[in-house]
Amino acid sequence: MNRIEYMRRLAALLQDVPAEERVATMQYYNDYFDDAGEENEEKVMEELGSPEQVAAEMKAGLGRSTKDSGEFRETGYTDPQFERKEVPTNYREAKEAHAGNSYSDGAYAGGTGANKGRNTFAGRQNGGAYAGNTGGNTYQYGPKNDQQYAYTNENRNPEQKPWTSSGLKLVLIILILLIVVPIVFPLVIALVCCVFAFGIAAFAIFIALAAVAASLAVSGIVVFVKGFLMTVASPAAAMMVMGAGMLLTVIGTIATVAAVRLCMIVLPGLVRFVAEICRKPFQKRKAV
Amino acid sequence: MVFNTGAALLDAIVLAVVSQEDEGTYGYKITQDVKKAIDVSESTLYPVLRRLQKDECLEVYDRQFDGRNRRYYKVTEKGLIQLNLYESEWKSYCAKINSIFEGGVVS
Repeated sequence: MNRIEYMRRLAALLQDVPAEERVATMQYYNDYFDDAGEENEEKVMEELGSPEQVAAEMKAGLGRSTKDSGEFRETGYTDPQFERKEVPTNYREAKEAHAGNSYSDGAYAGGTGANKGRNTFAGRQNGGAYAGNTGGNTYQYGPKNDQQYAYTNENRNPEQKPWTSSGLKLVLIILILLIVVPIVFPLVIALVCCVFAFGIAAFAIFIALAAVAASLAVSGIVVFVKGFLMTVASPAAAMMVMGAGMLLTVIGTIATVAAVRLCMIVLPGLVRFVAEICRKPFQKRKAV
Repeated sequence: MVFNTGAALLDAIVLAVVSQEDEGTYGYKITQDVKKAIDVSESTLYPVLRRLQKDECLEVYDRQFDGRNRRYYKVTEKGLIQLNLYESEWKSYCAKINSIFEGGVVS
């Protein structure tokens, strides 16, 4: 590992800290390498320890005040809080997965402004751009989510909720109603209209039947009157016409009475039937 | 070193090292100076510096050096007060420990 790789690795490990902290940390270690001199690069990396260690200590130091305890032993800084936080096992996998990724496409921005002179990233790194302070707070390195998620997920046990919650169900029901109502509602109206039309048609047929019978009786009377007026001119023909008229009148009267009786029987039944059909969907809905 | 260095003592040492330079000093030099006194891992000093900076005991500024910007650390008024507190605490602590070592009874 050379200095560039070291710094890239460190930056990748610091993806989950606030940008301000990340930039400051990167600048500090960049300065550190610069001040140690190019010839001491290997030594510095050895002294600092792995980027993982540097990142872990930096994160452990975040958000802590001077009052917090912690000791510096011969083995280095020791803190109960920190000791428990060992590198999780899946971290190694993340690291391996990460090894294939290059940062060459990510811009390495931040840190010292006029870095052109000495051991600068810009000078040493082909392709990748290590911009100065102009970059502000944006350190962007290749993949963002792999390792720090692997690194921090250990302590998090997200509560697994069932896929369908009651809220979701409600939303689904509303959606279904929204889709179904515009189709079903007109259909129901059409059905009701059809039933009404049939009812009215049936009513009309029976009324017509009665009307035909009644008109038959009336025409019978008219024919009888015509026959009576013919008695002087032609008594024989008048007798026949009068007979036919009387016959017609009787048949018409009988038919009329029958038709009216039929209407009286059928029409209320028809009305009841229509009313029943109209009531049925509502009763059914109530049952559901 | 057989004795452990507490966070407060490390803070005190860092403050003392930085305060020795009127113009302020930079990370690498602070690390080397602190290492003269105590054996401490290099990577532990950055969090300490950052914390002291946040506690307003240290202030930072960038200055041109050798064609690049170098970040300098300088002790603030608050830092000096804190350092004085640490020094007096340390002196009384040492005096007590010394008196025990030298066979005296702590009064």
